[in-house]
Amino acid sequence: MVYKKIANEEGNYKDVNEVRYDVLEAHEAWTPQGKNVGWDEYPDMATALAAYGLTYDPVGEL
Amino acid sequence: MSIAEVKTQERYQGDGETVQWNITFAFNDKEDLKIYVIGSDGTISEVTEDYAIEGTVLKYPLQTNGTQPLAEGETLLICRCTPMLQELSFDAQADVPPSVLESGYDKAMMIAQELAEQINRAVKFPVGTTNGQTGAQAYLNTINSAVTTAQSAASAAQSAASTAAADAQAAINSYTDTAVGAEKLAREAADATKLDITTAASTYLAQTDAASTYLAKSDAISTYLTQSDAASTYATQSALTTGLAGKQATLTTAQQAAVDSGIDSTKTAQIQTNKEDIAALDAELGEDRPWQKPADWIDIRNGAIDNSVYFLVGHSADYSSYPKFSLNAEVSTGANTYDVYVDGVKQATTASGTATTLDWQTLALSTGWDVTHPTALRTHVVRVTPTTSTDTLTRILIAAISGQVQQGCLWIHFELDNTIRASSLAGSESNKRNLLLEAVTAKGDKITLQTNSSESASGFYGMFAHCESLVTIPTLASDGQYNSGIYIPFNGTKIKKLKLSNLTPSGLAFLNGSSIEKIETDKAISFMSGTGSANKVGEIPLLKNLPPISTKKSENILIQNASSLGDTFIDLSFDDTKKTVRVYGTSTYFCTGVKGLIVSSSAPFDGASPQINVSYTGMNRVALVALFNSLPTVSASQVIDITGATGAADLTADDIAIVTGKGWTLTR
Repeated sequence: MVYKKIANEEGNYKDVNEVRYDVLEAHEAWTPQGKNVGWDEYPDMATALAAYGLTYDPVGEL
Repeated sequence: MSIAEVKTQERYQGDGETVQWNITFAFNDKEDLKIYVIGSDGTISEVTEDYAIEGTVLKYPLQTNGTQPLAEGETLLICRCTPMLQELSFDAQADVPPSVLESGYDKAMMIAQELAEQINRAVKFPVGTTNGQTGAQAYLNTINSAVTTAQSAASAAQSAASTAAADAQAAINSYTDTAVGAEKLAREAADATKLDITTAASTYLAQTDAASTYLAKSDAISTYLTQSDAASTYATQSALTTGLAGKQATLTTAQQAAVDSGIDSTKTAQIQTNKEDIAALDAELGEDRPWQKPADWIDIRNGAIDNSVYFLVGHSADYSSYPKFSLNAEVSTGANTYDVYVDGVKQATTASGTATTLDWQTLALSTGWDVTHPTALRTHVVRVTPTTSTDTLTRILIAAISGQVQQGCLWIHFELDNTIRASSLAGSESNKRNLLLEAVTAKGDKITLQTNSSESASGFYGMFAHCESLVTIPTLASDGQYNSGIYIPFNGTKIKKLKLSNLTPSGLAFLNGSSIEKIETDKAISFMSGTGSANKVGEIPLLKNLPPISTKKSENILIQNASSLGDTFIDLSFDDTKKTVRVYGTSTYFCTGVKGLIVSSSAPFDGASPQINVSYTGMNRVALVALFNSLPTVSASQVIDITGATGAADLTADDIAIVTGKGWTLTR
């Protein structure tokens, strides 16, 4: 799986500084620069979040 | 003649008819006869007129003056009283005719017989009495002495009788006193017992009357329900009868024979199968049947009073289940109060905005109505209305009860003309459950809700959440104010059709727990800004068709987990405002029905990633390529997610190049 961390003020993930992000997940990512260019490969989401230093904190869900 | 018979009288008994009497003894002249009538009381009266003697026949009465014949009990006595005269004179040496001589002898004999008859009726000394003893005076003295002795004896006897009578009376009096006394005691005891019995009887009669009243009411209710059911059945039967009559007229001989063969268990089973097939077909066609009130529920719509909200609430007979029911209401004049009636009797007057809790076990109630559906319960009708008739209800909800989560509300009916706030009416995420609530009805089949989100309890938040038995609600209308989202109001219910009027909610979000299959609305849903949970048509997994959606007001489109949608094509080619467009499902809620999406090549798509999401949809390669061709060219590596889409694995390198050539990143 490939992952990409994207800054988003309404994202469902936050870092230690409370800055919010989204994390996109895909089997493969076809970018203008090529396959998976700019995306990170991890075995699963939890590993990716750990690598990114993010925790799941959804916004707007009840 | 000869006098061969000693007979001087004739007696006859009256019979009410006989007036001629035969004289069978000899007599010389009718003037020698005397006639007597002896009455039934022994009175003897001589008849001196109104009679005639002809030969040997006496005619009496002659009835010339209306005298009636002798009656029964009266006696006719005919006597011969020959005059004691000898009127014969014979001359010396004259002829003596034998007849003259015989007549003299006859007359003498008659006289002798008559005297003998009289002597026989006289009092006589015995035959052995000597001449010296036949003195009348001595005899009279003897009689007088006997009379005196008899009189003395009679007097003594009378005195003794008097004494005996007095003694008897005394005994009677004594007995009577005793008896009266005993009777008095017995009567007093009986009176006391009677009073007890009367009191008990009165109590019994009162209870009997109450029971009779209850039974009469129950019977009346049962009769009403039976009549309602019978009327419904009759109406149905009438329609069926009419329909069957028409159908029967078209039957062939063979078909008629089949009908005449009767209905057996096979046919009955087939009928059930047919009903199930019809229900399945209805579901397939999107048809729904109106809710049928359970037969043993009282109909709270009947006779409903305006400006009121009704609740049909149940509890177990032993109060162990649903022992309390609580509600809260607000009225238009905030300082005023609202009244709560149970079974027509006012139970509370409560300040606006304050909860009223009804404890079924302690309330002085009627016996209510026992039901068997959905379980054995005793139900009561709760009515909420403003105390002041000029006020209106502005808010209503079933309130939480500390220590009791489950409440026994079966049915809510709104009899209102005004707008009301009803957020969290019967639903809740955690602190109250109305699992028995089966129906919500309303006057005119519509509730007008205040939807100004700036007001507490506006909108639809949690109205019926977790009301797991709820199958029907009326049209939910808006008062036209600013509309918030319709957020999780139907989660966990059995409602299949949602009817909206004058509503343009910012979204419909039911959190995957909704059973809604159809949304009918007279206005389009208008997405608001943001991508939050309320701003989407989200998590309505059984929804078959998208309702009208107005996208112009929103920069973001979010349709999520609508996994039962029929074939749906979304065309946003005209909309150049979009920042994100996400129409997607998950591996669990695969949106097979989403078949196509095209966007505007002028839209900015500068929202959060992925800016376009059609993952887990039914878009095949052709549809995906059409989407790719509609994309604008971007410069910030916007992302289009097609993970799990039907045609995702079928794309060629050239197809992908369309996306990347416009600056997009395609993920799958």
